[in-house]
Amino acid sequence: MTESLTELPSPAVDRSGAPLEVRNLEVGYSRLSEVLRGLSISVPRGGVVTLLGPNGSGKTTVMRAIMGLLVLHDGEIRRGQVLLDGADVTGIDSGSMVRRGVALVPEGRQVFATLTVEENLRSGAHTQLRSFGRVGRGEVADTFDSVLDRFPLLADRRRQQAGYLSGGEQQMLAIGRALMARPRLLLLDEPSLGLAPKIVEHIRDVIVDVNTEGTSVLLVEQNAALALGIADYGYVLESGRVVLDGPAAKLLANDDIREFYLGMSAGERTNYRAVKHYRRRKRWLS
Amino acid sequence: MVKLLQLVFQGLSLGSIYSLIALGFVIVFKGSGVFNFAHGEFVMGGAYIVVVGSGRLPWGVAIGVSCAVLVVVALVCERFLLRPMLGRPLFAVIMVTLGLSIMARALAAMLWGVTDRGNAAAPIGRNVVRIEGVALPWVGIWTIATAAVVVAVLFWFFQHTHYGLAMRATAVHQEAAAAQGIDIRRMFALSWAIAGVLAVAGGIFLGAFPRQVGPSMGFVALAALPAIIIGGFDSLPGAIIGGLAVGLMQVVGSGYLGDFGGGRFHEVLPYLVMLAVLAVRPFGLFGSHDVERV
Amino acid sequence: MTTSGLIAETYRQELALRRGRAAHAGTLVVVALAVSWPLLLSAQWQTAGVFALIAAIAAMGLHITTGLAGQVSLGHAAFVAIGVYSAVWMGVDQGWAWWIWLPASGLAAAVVGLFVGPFALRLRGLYLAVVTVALLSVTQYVWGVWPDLTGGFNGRSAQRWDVRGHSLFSELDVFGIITLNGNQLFWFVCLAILTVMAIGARNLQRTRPGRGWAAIRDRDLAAAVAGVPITQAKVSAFVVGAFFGGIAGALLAAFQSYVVPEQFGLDLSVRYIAIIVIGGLGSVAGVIVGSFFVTILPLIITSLTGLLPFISERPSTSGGFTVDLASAFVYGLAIVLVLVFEPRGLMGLWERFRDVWRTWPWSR
Repeated sequence: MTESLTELPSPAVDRSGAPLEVRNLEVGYSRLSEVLRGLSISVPRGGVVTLLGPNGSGKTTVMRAIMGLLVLHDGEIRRGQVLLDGADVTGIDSGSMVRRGVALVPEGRQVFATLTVEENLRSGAHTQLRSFGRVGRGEVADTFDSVLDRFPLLADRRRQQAGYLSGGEQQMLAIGRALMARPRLLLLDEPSLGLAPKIVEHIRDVIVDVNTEGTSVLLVEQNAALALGIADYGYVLESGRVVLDGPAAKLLANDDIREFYLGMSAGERTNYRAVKHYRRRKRWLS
Repeated sequence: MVKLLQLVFQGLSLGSIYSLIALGFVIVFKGSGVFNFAHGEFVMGGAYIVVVGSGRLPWGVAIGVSCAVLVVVALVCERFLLRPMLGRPLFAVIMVTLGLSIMARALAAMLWGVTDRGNAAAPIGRNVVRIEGVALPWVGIWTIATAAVVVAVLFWFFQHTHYGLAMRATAVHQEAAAAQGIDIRRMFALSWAIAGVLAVAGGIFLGAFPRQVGPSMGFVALAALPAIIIGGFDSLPGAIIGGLAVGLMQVVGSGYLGDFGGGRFHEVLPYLVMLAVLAVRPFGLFGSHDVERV
Repeated sequence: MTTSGLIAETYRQELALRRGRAAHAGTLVVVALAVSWPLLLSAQWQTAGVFALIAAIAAMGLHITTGLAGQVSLGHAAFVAIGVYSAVWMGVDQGWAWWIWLPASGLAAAVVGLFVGPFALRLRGLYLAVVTVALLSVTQYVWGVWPDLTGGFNGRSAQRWDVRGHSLFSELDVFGIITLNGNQLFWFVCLAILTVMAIGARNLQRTRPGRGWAAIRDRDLAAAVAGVPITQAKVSAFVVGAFFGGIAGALLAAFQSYVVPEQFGLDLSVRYIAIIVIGGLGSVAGVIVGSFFVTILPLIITSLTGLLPFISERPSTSGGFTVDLASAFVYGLAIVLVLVFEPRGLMGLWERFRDVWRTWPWSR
């Protein structure tokens, strides 16, 4: 998993990755809680950026805030901005976001269990179809074919109900569904969750491929080794704030990251002071 | 034998009406997560408008007007009453629709009086077709045919159009649907609008010979409830099958069990069957387990 | 140091039903109102008042089943009906005394509740709600085909309530001070019964079974894991609720003196649910407030007919506003408005007002 930094590719002619900028975002739920406290991140055009952090640090909330899904959870953006390719898209609805070229692969996959694989993919193309259309028309058909090319497993199971697929296959399906919208920015929320290492490798290759074709990627992950292996740049979130950020190579070499996220300890703890020091460091800046 | 065939035909005819009504309930439930207890009043309203309208307009136009009015009413209810209730407990939502049904019944009586108003399918007439000695009323034939056409159109819509797919996706997982760019509020509204049209269809035939359009129609529509339970709350095929089953039970039951249990046993039979089905399959024959959004 | 009423300083205060001087003053006001109602108002209002008290008793039962334990029941009217017909059978057909038929009606309903309870074990939410409607329909069917008991479609007369030979419908001379007519007597009797049952309901909330009910209302799976005996809790919710309904039914039979099976249908069940919703879920006082609101509403509209010219008295065949229809419409509207705008009902409104009052000038 020690692949070196992915080179920033030159974007494909017709589909350049969209740069994303989040400025000082404050997000809370039910008019009560405060989950994101002034968060700022940025994804360069055609780049891969990762968000790391433990459970409850607000990573999924960032995704929801960008995609306009907060309202479904009684959440709201209280301050701050989200800029996509220079345009202010703070808080707009998810339909508009998808039309502007942002697609989300949600946490836990969230495939439509009682619909077939083919229907799941078609639903991803919802915004591409202008009227009562079916797959078999123009660009959507081409995208459909290319997604099935990328995931031959799905092609085999076209007519199966998505609920019967294995976890890894469902993850492929979720990514494929997001790709049906021909996104310029792909958001992935913990794609490796609960999957076997071999499948995680396959997914990693897919993400790298997609990025090579020009799409910017924002990847939320708990598997830091995987994420830092693909990403150009990384942010570490804790309790709704960025506590550390930097190019992926530097993060990989950072002692604290190595200890808390990669499981490689810096040295033996031989005395009580060393334990106290460990505990203090673990509390970060939050 | 002739009697049996006749009863079966009548049962299917009545069952088709229950199916249309049950479909209205289920589509709203699947599409927007709300169980609309006031749907019976929508059915009644649709029938009333057709009957009153056909006094001054051609019957077909009256049906069109009724559909338009019901769609508007359904959309207004969805937008102003049920959408603010998003995320509230099920119980509260049920009560809002019950309150709505009380208002609707009072309103209907205020607008159109408390006596029966006549036949909603008058142009079809009361003639019968005789095949091998079995009398098949034209009304019954039209009822079954209309229901079949409506079901076919719905099937085409849900399986082969992208709005239908979007609605199905929303019914399975609202957030994932929103993440694909589907406007789930529009999907809610669409499901209510479809229910409005189904209400008119059901109402016309519910208020047709040998019945009449009257203020107690809402209660008759409640007889579709066992149909929904037997079929399962979130299953469209279940609603159709449940509706036909209840219709058959009521008619064939009254034909053969007429003297049993005080002469009204056929009314309560669907409820007993419903309880029996639930004892074996607590989610109906075709319902799925996660009916509640926990 | 005076207590503000917000903090309990001793364990005894913690357990008390009412706390603080304002609350005690409030209780006195309520008592005064309760005593003076039948004495100061006209016969129409007295009758309505008694109906409101009886409805409050019935709704109290539903409050336990649905409000406390979260078991949605749209069939509560069936328990009331069972109370009615048990009382009628025992009081009129058998000729037993009131101190037998009154509690026994409650018990009869409770026994039926024992059979309904198990449905709640397998079914939840919407399915349970619709099944209770079905059970209600089944009872309606039973009344219809049992004319000996119910008088069939046309109904039958119910009993007179005799206490030591004195009928509650005739006048009673109280210590030579005042003379109470039938309505007023009934009011005080029902008031007494309601007070006892209301305090009982309120206290039930604070006992172990009561907390068990609250647990299964919120998350019954978690409650089961935490050791709440689910079967007993769910069944007992129905049984206790049914008991209240049965008592209310017996009182109704005695007061109404003529009962028709049709009146115990879905409309009545919805009325009870409306009462607990409008009054405010989870509050015993709310049940009483809601009950009066719902029962008095038609009276209020009647008195307004003088002011609103388009409301007429009698129903017509061609439409037009009448008192019944207008009050039905307002009743439905009230349900919808309360649920959409103030989910905690009238008590919720009162609590908001009271909180602002208490914390002024720091209230927002």
